Amino acid sequence: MKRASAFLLVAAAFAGGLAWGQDKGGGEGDYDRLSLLERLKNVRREVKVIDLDTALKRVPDVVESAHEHRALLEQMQAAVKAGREITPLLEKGRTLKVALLDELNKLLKLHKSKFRGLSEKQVWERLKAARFEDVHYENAWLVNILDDLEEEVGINIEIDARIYKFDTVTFDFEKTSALALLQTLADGLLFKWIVRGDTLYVYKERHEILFGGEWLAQKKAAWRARKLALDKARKEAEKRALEGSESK
Amino acid sequence: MRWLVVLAAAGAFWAGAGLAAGTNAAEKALVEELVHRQDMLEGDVEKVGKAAAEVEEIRKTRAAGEYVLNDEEKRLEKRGRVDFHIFLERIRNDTLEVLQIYDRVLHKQAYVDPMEKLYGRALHQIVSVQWEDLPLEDVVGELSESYGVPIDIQGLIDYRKTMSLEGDMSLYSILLYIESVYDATLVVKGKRLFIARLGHEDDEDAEGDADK
Repeated sequence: MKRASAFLLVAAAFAGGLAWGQDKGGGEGDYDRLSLLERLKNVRREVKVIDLDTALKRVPDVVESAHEHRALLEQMQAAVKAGREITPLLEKGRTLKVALLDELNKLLKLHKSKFRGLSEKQVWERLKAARFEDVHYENAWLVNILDDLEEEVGINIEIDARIYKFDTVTFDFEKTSALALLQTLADGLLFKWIVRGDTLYVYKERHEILFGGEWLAQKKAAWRARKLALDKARKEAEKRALEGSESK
Repeated sequence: MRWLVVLAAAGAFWAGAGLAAGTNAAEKALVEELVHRQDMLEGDVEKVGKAAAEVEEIRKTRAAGEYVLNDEEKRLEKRGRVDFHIFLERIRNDTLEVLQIYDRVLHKQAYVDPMEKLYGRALHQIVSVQWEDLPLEDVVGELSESYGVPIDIQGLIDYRKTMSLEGDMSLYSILLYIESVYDATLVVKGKRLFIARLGHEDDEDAEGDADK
């Protein structure tokens, strides 16, 4: 019993399904033909793993920051209603979010390339100035193209965990620019990008990720349906076998 | 004369009131947008907070009973750790976008892409295009009309060159593609966009060769 309750607790806390990952799973595209080892050999970027101990300590601050921001927004709504100036409240909100971004980046171990420390303007200048000739990629992994961009343009690129790094891309451009390449990738693979500080963040838009008990509930429903189908098939087979023996 | 002064004062008053009303409406819209984003975020924050509290609870249970996870539970734990990471990244990405809003209204952006200033959010909206061997003028005409931003072609652009483009892509991609194909530069001046090509080393070489 203790084991069962502990299992439920573990499941409740940890179980989750990555909808996007599930969409991608199940064998389509060239990347599925490649072994995991081959894939890993080709991925140059280091694998980031969240430090759970640090996360557990810092998450309450993240939650607290969200509550503070909500309170601030309520003050803003009241100020707008009363026709009062809201700029000081906006400044407070921004300060709160700047601190939160800093906190989350520490927690999420921001990718550390050699191009950290540039100003936002420098990042944009480099991005706009970089032009390439004869760009050929055939079934290349997104992560590797972004790493090439990072190296060629000389900027730090941070990739969201939800970006499927093994998405394959084929390009053939006589002439192109870094910005055009990035925007083409973003349009094709449906991701967004933002330059903030010294980093270009490449990320997926909000979408449904099942979390908590939701994923487990779905899995259980699927298991139950499969069990029912198997039971039904077994019973039918038994019935057919019985009818066969009777006819003999 | 006195009437004129009174009229001028009344006009100034109404203009001021109108301005204030406009500002108030803009502020209201801004706060509404921030509230909407906060509403979307709060579900994630709650889930992450709850997950963190539950992990602490599990750790206590395991420490007390020397509980050992079976393979299925280990798999779930690994997956849970990935999801935890993903949710925190989702909160980080949302924070980035909200910060963009704050920076814009408080004029604190270190750099604003002029193209973004010109087209706003429409720049990144995906549209379907199907152009086959179209002259640049036609493409530019269609874009100018569709987005309400006049585009001018300037300089040594090869007008005879046609372009083909097909698929779903953003306006930004289209414009950057034109920039690459015609070896041009996109320049924003006021409310207009210029696709310009001013002098080029290759051209000078070509001219030099022609002289010889």
